[in-house]
Amino acid sequence: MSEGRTLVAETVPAALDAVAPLAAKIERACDELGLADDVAFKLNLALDELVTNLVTHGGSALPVAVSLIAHAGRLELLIVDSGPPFDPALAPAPDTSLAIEERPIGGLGLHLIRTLMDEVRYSRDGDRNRLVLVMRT
Amino acid sequence: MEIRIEERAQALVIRPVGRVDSVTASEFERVVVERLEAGAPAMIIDGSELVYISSAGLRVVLVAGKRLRASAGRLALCNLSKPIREVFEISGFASLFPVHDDLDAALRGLEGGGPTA
Repeated sequence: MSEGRTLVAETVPAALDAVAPLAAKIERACDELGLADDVAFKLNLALDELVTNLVTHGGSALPVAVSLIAHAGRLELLIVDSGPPFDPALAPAPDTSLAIEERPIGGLGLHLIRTLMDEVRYSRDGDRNRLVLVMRT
Repeated sequence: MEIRIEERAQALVIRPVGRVDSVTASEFERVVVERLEAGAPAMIIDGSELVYISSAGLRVVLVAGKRLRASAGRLALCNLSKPIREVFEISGFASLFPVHDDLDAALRGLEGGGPTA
């Protein structure tokens, strides 16, 4: 298996305002590869939802290491944090068929990640969460 | 993010400019709720200058839709970019609210008594 080419590698504190500057870098990297706009959009949405989730579930201000790695035919966004163990695949899916009166507010972030990414791989590595989000290009 | 507001006869048009994310969604919510409390009977969220929306922004859209529904008002969306439209579809919002290609179609939809929010 090839190592891939690292396009972005940054460690930021888990904070809501850390997302937009990182999103701009991911956008630039995707632009340089000549990828369609929605690839960066989806990766950034997934990253945003994860960081927001971490901030609201006990991981505020912890360092989050984010890398964007290009492989042949796919991009991988690797996100490593030392927050509480959290596998987004285990979060319950919302019932999107409910009428508006019954729709609960919230619960969409992780559903968006799982739906928009081609693959989501989670592992707990010692005291860290290690999440690989894959988008085929 | 900045929010442009346009009052049309049929509806209040809310046009967020830039990113509606976890940071800016609270400002988006403040403006939307303020207008709903002032009695806007119908609202169109125009995405022509919206470049990004996360679940924090979707939450505000749902809050607006629920409030308008409770007061027999209506909410519609228009001018959503392809990825934003996809986000609305995945969330199930595209079946809760009418999504129109452009503002004229959204305004006509409200006149025509189409599906309510």
